[in-house]
Amino acid sequence: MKNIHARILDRELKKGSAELVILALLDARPRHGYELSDLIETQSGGDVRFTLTSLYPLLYRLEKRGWIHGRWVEKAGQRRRRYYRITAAGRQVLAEQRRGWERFVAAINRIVEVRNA
Amino acid sequence: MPDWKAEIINRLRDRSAASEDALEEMVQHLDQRYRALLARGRTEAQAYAETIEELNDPAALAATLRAASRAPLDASAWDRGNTGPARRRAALFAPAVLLRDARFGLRLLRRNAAFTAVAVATLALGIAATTAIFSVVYGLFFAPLPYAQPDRLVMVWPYVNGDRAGVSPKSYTAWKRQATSFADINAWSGRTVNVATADRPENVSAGAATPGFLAMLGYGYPLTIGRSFQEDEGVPGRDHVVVLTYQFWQERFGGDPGILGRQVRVNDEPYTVVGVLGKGPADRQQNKIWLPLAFTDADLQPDTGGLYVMARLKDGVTIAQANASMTALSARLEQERARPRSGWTIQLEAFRNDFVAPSTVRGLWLLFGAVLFVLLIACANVANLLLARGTTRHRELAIRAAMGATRGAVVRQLLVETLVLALAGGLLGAWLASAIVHAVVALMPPFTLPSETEITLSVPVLLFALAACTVSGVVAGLAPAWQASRTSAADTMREGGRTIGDRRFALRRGLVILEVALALTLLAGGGLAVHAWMRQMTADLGFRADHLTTFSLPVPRGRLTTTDQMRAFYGSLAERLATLPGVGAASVSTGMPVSGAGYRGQFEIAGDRVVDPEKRPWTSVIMATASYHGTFGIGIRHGRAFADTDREGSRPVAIVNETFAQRFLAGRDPIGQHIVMAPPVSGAFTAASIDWEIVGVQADAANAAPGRPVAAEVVLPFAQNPWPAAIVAVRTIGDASVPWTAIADVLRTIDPTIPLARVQTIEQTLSRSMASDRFYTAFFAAFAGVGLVLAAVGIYGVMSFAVAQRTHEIGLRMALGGSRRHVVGRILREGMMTALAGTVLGAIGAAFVGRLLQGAVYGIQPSNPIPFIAVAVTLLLAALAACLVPARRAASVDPIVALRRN
Repeated sequence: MKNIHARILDRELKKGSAELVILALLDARPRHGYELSDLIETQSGGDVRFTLTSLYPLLYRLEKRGWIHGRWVEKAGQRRRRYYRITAAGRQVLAEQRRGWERFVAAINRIVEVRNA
Repeated sequence: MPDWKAEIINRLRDRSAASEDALEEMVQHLDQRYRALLARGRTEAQAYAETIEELNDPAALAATLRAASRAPLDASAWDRGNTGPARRRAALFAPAVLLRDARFGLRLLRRNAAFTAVAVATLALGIAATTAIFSVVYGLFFAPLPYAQPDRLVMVWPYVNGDRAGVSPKSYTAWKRQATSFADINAWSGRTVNVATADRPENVSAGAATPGFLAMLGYGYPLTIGRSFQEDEGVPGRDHVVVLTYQFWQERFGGDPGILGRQVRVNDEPYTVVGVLGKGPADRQQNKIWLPLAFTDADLQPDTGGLYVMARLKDGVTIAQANASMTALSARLEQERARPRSGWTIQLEAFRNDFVAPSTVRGLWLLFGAVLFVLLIACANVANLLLARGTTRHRELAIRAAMGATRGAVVRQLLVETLVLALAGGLLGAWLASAIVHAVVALMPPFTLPSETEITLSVPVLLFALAACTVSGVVAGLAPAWQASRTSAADTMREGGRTIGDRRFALRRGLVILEVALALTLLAGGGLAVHAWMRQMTADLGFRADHLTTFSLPVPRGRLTTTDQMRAFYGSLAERLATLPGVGAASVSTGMPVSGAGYRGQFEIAGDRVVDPEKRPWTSVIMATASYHGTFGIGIRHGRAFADTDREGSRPVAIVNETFAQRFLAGRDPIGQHIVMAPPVSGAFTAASIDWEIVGVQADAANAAPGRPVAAEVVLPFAQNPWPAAIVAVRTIGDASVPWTAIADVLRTIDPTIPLARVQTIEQTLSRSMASDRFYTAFFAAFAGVGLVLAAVGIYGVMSFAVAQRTHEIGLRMALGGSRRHVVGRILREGMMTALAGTVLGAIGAAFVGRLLQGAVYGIQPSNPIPFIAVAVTLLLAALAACLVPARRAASVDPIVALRRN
């Protein structure tokens, strides 16, 4: 498993850090799709934006891998919404991705510092 | 608000790819985005334009929806592994999910119309029969009685040597004065009276009750009009008031509200109508009118009587306490008697169903058992059909499983489908049940059930039907659902969805064996009942049961008081009736074949003295005119019949039946023997014994229902021992009809106030005597018949399926030179082995059912092999017929076609 995760992680890290962002946001509490896109947009000051056609395929993919899972929740007086929650497997992946990200950032920083020096 | 769903769908080329769940999620996303933009101050047009931008890439949109459709769809599957079992179950049985399954099930059932029709009809039959019989069971045992606090009502019975006895007015008045456990106590009895309105007299049943009786029960309350009896109307002289039942008021007085205060002649005396009872239970009772029971001093003297006594317990007094206190009181009263009686006890019994014969209770529970068997067979049949269909649905279920449906979800869906079937069956069944209830009420002998018992499809009965549906749905659906859930998706897909597991087929065969076994048990019950019934129908009656009509003349008390009056009245009547055109013979007697004797007496044979009077044997006694034996066609075996010379003052003579002669005069010539017996004297309880010389022995004419053992009987000449109430019998000649007008004319010249009562042909008398047996026999046989048909359908289903599944194998065999006969033989053998296995298993049930039935239907012979063999052969023949069709189909398989199809 670890190998597979590592491979996927590697590929995704190269492609970008969308998964890390989603998992990190869901680590705090379960959220629905729009909330995720809204959070990303506002917290990045509008620099990062997920469109509908980029966000949902990502969510479905994460779900298929068993890292998050979504369920319809009905609250009184509201339309039912699908909330996504991080799973135990997802948390493990998140931890690995965070470590990978830190290493990545540290590596970049080192390079940038070297150039600056 | 823009229609986001339409916006999305318009951008898709393949609309079927859009899963509803994903669509909904996206619509909500767009919706929220749109609102958020509006909140930030965009105009509607700006907000719309910015939102719709998200959908600008149709290919990405389609890919998104495809990604969604690959994710697990089933709601229950989303929870897998992440939630506790309770939450998983909750999701499995969420109303929305069940509703979705039900809708899917309905669609499926509509598509398989033939399957649905057979399954629904089968379940409807089972549910209808069960519901109908349950409505009787419920009405009798569980429905609340229509009286106030019915559980406080008790009957007070004297028991003499274990038999219930009537209460004397003397005992009743003593109890009423001295009993301490009762809030109220009342007595009543039944009688027949002649009621005369302007045009004609009519003989009706009347209840005579102490004034508080109707009020104590709330019988016929609330009254339609008027009042019940008052306390002072229970006194002789003031008791000439009458309360009518609603039905009698309607029929005889056209529901005239001015009836109150009017006078009606009852037994030729004027009675004032004071009230009309309410509609309902009182109308189902025999009694058409109610009179106050008033005791004269003469009534209170003797210590015998035929009253029923009912009491209402005081609050807080249990039936056991009341029983103890009544036993003590009765012992005290007994001590005050000159000669205390032995073997005499008092027993309090709860009123509910106290008058229902144990055979009725037994019979009804047995019928209920029988219909449960029918329902079980129906369930097995439907389970079988579902299993057969399950085989063809393998592929669908495998796909569901592959898409992530859990085993629970598959089981749930199949169960919901079966429940939909069962509910449809239940609806049809409830409708059918009302027809069966009508048949039950029509066929049930009158007064089998207490008048309070109302047999209808009431709310509790319909709830029962609903429960029966649900249980049948689950029972019928469980095996197929369990089987289906074991489906391995991969195997099925690999085999192209046409696999039949041996296990599955074994299960189906097992169900059919069970069906056949249940059917045989039912059939054995029906067969035994029918056999007993046929023996009754063909029993030797000992008299000529044709062209005979009987009626009685309810002569009012006090009209015929002296023996001379009785002799004159009946003597001239019999004589004149016999001369009417079309009448071959006419007789007057106090009893008759089938109906039996109204009187029993203790006797001894002269020379065989029995010193203790209590130990003397009992015999039935009939007083009859000389024409009695000729009219009824009862043969004289030895000696002679009565003659006109056997009259008052001549030597007392008697004719005994063969049973009497065998039992009491074995080894002796009965003719010339003397019976020592007190003559029955109207109005007196004891008379001195006299000698009756036996002059003849008559054939054993049935003196109860046909087929019953004949009781010892003594016939005495009516002229030597007249009686005020008697039965008149008329035998007509050839095809002549009974000359009723002439008979009425004869009667009118003798006494115009006396009506004809209980007019019956001998066929009606016979039919009534067998009503109860006919009722149970008809229903046992009918339910057994339904069971037989269902079992045959089951065998047919399994064998057809087997043939259809093995077309290839059969084709191959035939291609390799197997003959058609061989193929037919194989199929028949297989089907018959299944039926035979069921028959053997059913024999165990059949062995028990005979013994159970013995109490309900007369003449059941549980050890007689003939009915068992007959029903087993019937069942096997039905099975053979059910196998023949599939076998012929197998034989007509064209090897080329069968092989090419593979």
